[in-house]
Amino acid sequence: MTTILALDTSMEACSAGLWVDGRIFARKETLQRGHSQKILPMIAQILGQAGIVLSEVNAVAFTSGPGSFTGLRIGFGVVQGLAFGANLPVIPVSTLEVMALSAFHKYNLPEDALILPALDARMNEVYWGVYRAGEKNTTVIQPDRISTPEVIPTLVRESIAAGIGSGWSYNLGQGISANLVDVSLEPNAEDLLVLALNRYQAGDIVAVDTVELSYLRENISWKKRQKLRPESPEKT
Amino acid sequence: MRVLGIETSCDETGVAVYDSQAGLLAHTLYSQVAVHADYGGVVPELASRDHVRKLLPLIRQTLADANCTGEQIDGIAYTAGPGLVGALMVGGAVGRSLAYAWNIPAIGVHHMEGHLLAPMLETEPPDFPFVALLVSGGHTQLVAVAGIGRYEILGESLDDAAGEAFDKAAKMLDLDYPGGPEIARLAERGDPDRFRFPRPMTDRPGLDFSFSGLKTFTLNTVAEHRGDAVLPDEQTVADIACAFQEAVVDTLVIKCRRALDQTGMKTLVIAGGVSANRRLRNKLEAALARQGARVYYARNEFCTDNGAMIAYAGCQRLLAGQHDDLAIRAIPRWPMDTLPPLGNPDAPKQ
Repeated sequence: MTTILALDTSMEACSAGLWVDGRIFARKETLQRGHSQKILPMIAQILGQAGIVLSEVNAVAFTSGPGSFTGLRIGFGVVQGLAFGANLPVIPVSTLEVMALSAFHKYNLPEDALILPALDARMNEVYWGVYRAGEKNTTVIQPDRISTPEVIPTLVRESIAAGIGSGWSYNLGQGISANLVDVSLEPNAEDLLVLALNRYQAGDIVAVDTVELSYLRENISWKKRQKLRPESPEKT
Repeated sequence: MRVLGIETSCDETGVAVYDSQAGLLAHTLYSQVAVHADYGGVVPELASRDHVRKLLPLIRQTLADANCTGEQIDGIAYTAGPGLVGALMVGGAVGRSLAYAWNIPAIGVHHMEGHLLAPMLETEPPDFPFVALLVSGGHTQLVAVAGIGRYEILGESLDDAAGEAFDKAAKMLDLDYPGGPEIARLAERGDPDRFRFPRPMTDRPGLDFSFSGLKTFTLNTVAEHRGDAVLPDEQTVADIACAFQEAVVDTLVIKCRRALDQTGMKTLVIAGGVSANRRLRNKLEAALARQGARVYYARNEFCTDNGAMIAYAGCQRLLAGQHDDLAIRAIPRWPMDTLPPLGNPDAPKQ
């Protein structure tokens, strides 16, 4: 029996899903805030509905970024607690990759469709990547990165089947040809489950301690303090 | 009852295991001071990111130090507030979900209640009722404590917290962050008679504090004595540090004595980072001895943020049957006098 638990709190959508040998149990809500209050009750509900206890789960999957910094930490914090507490391996999956599969399903796109998920990273930057999506899996074409919107057309020459996510509100369509654009599409735990199951079956699971969130924005631009004197007086 | 305590409200990751029978079994602390020193203060996003990396390894280590396994833990207490919301969220998410995984109760603890109860971890703990001076980088409060969860705020800072004032004054003197210990160290070399700083709000009745004027006074004194240089000479810097510390300490002592007089209590508890200040401890001890009162404080490592105080406070509430639902709690602003009391207020003291 294969049982995978998946959760996503990376964006406004808050969702949890459970795969139990082909049966899917899922909950999803769209929230401005309050993911921290909903996510564990959601997990408890779907486990209860499936009649599964946490220790019977084989692995916990989650969106490891990019996304809201606090949202990512809520999800990962919960995963850390569950994985450590029940001694489970984890499956971190790119938020953008899950979105690509969500778009594939939502719009019935042809197999191997090129999808460009992009999230608004503020400060005139977007998190984005390019994926080829199919019924059961996705392939990375351009790895996730952060850049200004202007950089994207210089790196993406192909015609895109779907441009999705809040990053597309930067009018990316001016430089990139996309058959459809959906700025409001968010990841969900059901599509995450599909990707997680593939990874699990391929043995692509990791220990929770080895996981780092992919914030993508690493250089946090706070001003460093300037000392008045190069060497402070008490140290001389 | 054996409780795992988790503290992540600001820039320290603290974990502890407290046992209601055997006492404190283990505690570990990872301080982010080095992460934030370059910025001259805590950068919230960096603090949150560091908690995520450090918390789980620290939990493993603390359980190993306590020589106990997850099955032997009966409850989890985590700091739910007040503090930096992103930082609180890390400890809350891990703590709450770990309790779910272990199928044990969890409770979100008020950070300042943790500080207030930290002296209970010492071999000679104070008895209720007492007056508590909570004095840290984020708080300066006088609280009448009738028992756990039975708090009456007697007075508090109307602007900066005392610890915050220390940090800001230290910055003006070009000292490293955090500034409190630096000022205290420098003050030992200072001439206490050279400058006299005001003791704000001591010339009128009441138990409120204000430290922002002292900041301006420090700034002006620095400006008057630096001449054409960026800073005054070393001795003058030490003299200013000394005068500043004396002013803060005297102000706190005056208000503490006043709070004891007003409540008729004979026990004072000082807690929070500034309660580690030796000058404050010495002056309070001397002043209170004259009025037949006694001052209690935690060992230095439990004056600043730590997991032990959270484990202890959470244990008391869990023992009384309080616990949370499955929501992860993170409450950045949380008045302490809204906490539920513990048990029957008329019952004899524990």
